[in-house]
Amino acid sequence: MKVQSIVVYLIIFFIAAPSFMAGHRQEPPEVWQAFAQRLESGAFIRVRLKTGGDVKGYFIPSSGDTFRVLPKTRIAVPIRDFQFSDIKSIDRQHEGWAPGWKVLTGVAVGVGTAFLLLLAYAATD
Amino acid sequence: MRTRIAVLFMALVVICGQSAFARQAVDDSPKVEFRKWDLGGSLGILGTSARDFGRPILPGLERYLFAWNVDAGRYFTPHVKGEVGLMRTNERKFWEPLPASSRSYSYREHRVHPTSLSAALTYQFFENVFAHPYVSAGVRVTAVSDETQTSVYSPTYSATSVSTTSRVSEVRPFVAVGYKSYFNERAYMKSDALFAIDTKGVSHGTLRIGFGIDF
Repeated sequence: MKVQSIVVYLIIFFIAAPSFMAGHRQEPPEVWQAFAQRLESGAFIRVRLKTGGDVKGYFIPSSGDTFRVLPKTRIAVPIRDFQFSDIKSIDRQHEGWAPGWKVLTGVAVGVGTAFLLLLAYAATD
Repeated sequence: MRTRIAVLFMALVVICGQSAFARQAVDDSPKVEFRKWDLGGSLGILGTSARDFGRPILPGLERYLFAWNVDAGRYFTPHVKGEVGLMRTNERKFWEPLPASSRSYSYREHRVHPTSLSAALTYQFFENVFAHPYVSAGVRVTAVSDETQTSVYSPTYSATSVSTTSRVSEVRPFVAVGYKSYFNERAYMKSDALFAIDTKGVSHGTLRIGFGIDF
């Protein structure tokens, strides 16, 4: 086997391994209950479920045994309640721009750069 | 080499599969009422082979045109949409040399105005998110209005011209991939790449970007 092949296999291993390792770690419900108590109302979070799904949304405080999330969706949907025992992980997330704004910014930067390059080219003539 | 490609492909499937299935599981959330129609406009660049859009005779002619489009779609399901589109391009101009005689030299100038009408079926991935990749397949019919002006130069360089207008139609199946990126619930930016096909391969293609709204 060539050195090149070994490097390829190693890269694949290092890319794939972390997601598999993460998949095996499970925290007890109490951990997430304690975590929820420290979250502020409206915090943007991602909830991963043991069933494999995940939901991004805004935390809504509740006093019961459920973790309440208003999902961040394009068209509004009702608040969802999750049992702490169903939760695999909760991560605080940074809420970025909507994809439309990102694309528009990218296009504006591209067009602006092209325009500046044209101006520079014209100035050197 | 083949083994390496197969292993790489499998690794990609494993890595991407996890996030794809995870996203699918989100679809357990309550069903919402989607808007059934969308309407958008876009600007882009059309690149064409010598087989389409008026078939230029001479090499080195412009093969790129600016294109502007209006598209309207109707969702049959949250994922499947029927779409019609109208595309216009700027005028395309090229010259065709005609057989010369000993006493005169002549050429024909073509001014081509293509207008395309397309119908497509689109599959849009994911539901109720802010970014939807999609794939489309359909048929594009292009009506090409070809205005020609034939000029004959005599040895004294006086020219005589004859103008005619003809119309030809080109029918091409196409495939497209794109991305619908939303600003909010209804307004979006759409960017896509389209490839039209004939018997010899890709005959023309467009790269477009535009805005639209769901209603």
